[in-house]
Amino acid sequence: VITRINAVLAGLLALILILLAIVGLGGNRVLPWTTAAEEKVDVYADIQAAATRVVLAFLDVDYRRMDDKADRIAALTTGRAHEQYAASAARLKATARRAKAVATGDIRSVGVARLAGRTAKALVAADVVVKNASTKGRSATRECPHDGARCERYRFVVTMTRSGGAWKMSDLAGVP
Amino acid sequence: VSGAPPVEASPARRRVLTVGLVALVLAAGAALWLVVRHADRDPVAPNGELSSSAARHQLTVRAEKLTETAMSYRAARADQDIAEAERQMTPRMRAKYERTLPTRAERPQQAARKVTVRADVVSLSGQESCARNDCAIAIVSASEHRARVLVFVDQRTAAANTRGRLASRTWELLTLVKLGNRWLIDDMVAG
Repeated sequence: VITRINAVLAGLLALILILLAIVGLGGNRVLPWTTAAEEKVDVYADIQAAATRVVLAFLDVDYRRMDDKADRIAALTTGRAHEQYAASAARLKATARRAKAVATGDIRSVGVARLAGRTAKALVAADVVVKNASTKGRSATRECPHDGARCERYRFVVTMTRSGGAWKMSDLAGVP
Repeated sequence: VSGAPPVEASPARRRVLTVGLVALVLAAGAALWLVVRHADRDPVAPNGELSSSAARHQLTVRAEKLTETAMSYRAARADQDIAEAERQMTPRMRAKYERTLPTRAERPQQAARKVTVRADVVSLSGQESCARNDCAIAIVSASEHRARVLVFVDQRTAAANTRGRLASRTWELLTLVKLGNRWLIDDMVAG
């Protein structure tokens, strides 16, 4: 019996030493669970992805698809931003249709400035190419290489709030 | 020796071996627990990204100083200001920075006119200049040795007999690299 116990102990020791070597060399990459660091980094990435989606939803305009835009923004916002957009959606739709506005946003960079519990602040740098009735006669320039368009640059501070299992925008402030 | 009976350890020696193996298993188990705990608490995620709020905050504080130093300039102290800015840059960034500077011939004229360019990181609460936790600086990505940081910057220019004016409201995407204990600017892209 003692011989068999010794054999089991020797096997167990070998197994532990192998695991020790694997974790010692591989670090947290080889752990079969999600570490706290990994979770937090995933949160940063989720915030950046959500901020990118929602700012693009705001910047992209197609006067023929304003209802789709309103639905998209409603799904990506919460709190004050949600209420404010809902209150102004009809007016924005009418304005976009009247001007035959088409705008295409380009998110140049997005980063997380602060994260505290269920609220985060992200900074977003974005460019927008706007085409509407008033830009028709414009020619392309070095600064704005698009005929019949105006180019705009934006700096946004986006407040993101965790709501319903997702990060949603609760406030959008342009930095002049 | 062929035909010799196998030598068996005495029961007493086998028991000693058992005790020794148990002690080794316990010691190795404790070592494994410590190594796993250390790996589990590593502030760097498996993809290399920094998760520690303190480390990320330190990075933003450093990015503020680096941005303002690199983007500010007093013609009357051009040599010192340029040298100070270049101390905060990698050779690659230094070469890029030097292409943006006024030529040596222009500098005395600018010094006589007391030209200054001052860069301030934007305050999130709308103050003249930002203070701790109020600066428009965000981390795009950050590992232990390389980071990309988005900074909103306002630049003001002034000269003798002219009022200071806002020259640009821009954003900068800084690539920082850690050499030794210092973060240096390796690249700057303006919006």
